[in-house]
Amino acid sequence: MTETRCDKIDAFLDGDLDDVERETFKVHLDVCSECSAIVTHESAIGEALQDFAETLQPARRIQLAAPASVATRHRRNVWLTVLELSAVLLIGVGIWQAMGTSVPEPTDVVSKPIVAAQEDAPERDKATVEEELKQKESELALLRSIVGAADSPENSLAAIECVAQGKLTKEQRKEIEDLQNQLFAISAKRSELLHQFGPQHPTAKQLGAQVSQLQKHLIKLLRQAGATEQGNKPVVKTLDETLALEAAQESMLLELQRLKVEQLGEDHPQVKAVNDQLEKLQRMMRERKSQELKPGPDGDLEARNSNLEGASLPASRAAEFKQALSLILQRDKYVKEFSENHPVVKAFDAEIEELHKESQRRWQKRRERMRQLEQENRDADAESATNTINLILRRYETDIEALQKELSELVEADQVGP
Amino acid sequence: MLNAIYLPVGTHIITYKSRQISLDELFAANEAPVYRFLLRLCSDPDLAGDLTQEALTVGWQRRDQLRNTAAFRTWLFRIAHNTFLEHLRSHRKRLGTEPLSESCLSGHTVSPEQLTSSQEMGRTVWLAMERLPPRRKQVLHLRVVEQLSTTEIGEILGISTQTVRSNLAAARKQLCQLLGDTVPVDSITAIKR
Repeated sequence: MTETRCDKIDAFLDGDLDDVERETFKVHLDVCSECSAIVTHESAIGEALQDFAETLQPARRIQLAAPASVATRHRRNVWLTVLELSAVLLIGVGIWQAMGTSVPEPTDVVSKPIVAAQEDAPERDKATVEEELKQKESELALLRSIVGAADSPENSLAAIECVAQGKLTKEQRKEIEDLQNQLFAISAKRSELLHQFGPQHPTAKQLGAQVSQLQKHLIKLLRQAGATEQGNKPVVKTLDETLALEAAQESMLLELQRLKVEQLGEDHPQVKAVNDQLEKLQRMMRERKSQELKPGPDGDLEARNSNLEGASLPASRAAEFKQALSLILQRDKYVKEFSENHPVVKAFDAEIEELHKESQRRWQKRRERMRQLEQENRDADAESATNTINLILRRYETDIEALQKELSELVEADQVGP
Repeated sequence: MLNAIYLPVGTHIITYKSRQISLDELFAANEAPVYRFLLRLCSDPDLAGDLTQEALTVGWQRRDQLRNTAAFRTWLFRIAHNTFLEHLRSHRKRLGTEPLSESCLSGHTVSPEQLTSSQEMGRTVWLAMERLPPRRKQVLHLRVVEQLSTTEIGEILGISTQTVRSNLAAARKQLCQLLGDTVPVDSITAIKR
């Protein structure tokens, strides 16, 4: 191909010339063989590429929420939503009364129907629904980013509850949203730089540092939001509360499973997902209950640990110490009488060393077991928090779906009406 | 063909006085272009299918935000591009890290044997374009395959028109060199003649 390129050839190929310029350039093409060859070549490539591109189709048909076909699906979904909401509300109230506690339960947030049952207010106008939908969508986005930003489920749950219960103050909300917008803008810029210049680009590095700083700040804000609401209480407090929370989740899942089976059949993936979640929860509950029977009256970790070892902890330690002390005294007696190198002294040394090693080994084992139990406890709390978060998010999604359907019905009605 | 999608739909809007029905058609007509663009971006037919579904769903949900129906394609392609960037962010991936292979067309519905000679040549060009840097690949695709203007391309990718132009010039030059390595350039021209 030719090396000489006329000034306007790229503009011509890019379609950036105006009518007059284009006609002038076409005249130029008749006399300039280099430009003419480039244009012929480029248009040949373009046409071949277009011919091939026409054959590229997605392997499966894209499902667009077409208004006509949505109508029937919609009605069924709204009913399912209403049933789900009512069921969850009933269960939530039942648990609330049964527990008779003032602890702000995560299930309360879940069970609180965010969208009012739709039969009660069928005549809501479009603006109200739109406003509500907008709010829900922004809240869901906020919740999702909280989940993404927080370093552990327990941390995010407190903040999520604040949002879901509408208890986040206006200032907190504003600050969090501003921070998120900032974070999003910087991340987008950084991602652009990354895929243009790679991770070593100095501005990309700088932006990366800014992103992590902002994320830390966001987590701090969320923690504060959670802390002011919860009074610095950890979210999952005692075994009783945890069990009650899990029982509430279990009944909700059972109800959801029943509804989904009725609507979608047993083999539907949604039903299977609920089944899996239910099974996991039930297994966790069984494990927790069996743990509850093991430890002493106060459920103290140390006591539980000593039960596992088969002897009370201070007693066993005292016995070891006593045994070692008597050996050391006897050894001293022999050292005075003979010398450090006497075989009996050496035998004592060996015995003392053996005892020391044995003691070390036993203590190491205990420490490991304790760490393991602590970790199990933490994992269980994290899992429980994750479940609650998922339930809250799912509730929001269902609400948004219902609101969208309601809105599209209203729009349809508007169009049909006049 | 692209203009053919545009014009009748605009007419439908006036004739049927129903924005939703015409938009529905408009979305359906743009399914393949959006898929091609996303396939170009991610080089993975399955992922491109998923992202197309997502982009069209998002577009459909935000259809009320569409102020100028004439700019529908730019608007929808921008959503598709953002969907792809969002996917990259959530999977912490970088563009252009996948090795070049024919697997980028593995889900292709038409087998190479069924292609005409022009289409076969187009396939070679398509694969050669896979070796261009991401930005050049994107601008060249939107210009050559989708026939969009430099201003529209800039709006879709969120870059200046000047950047689009310089990338286009560089992409053409590089593609020419790449094709020179694999197929004789003159054979393409010969086929088209």
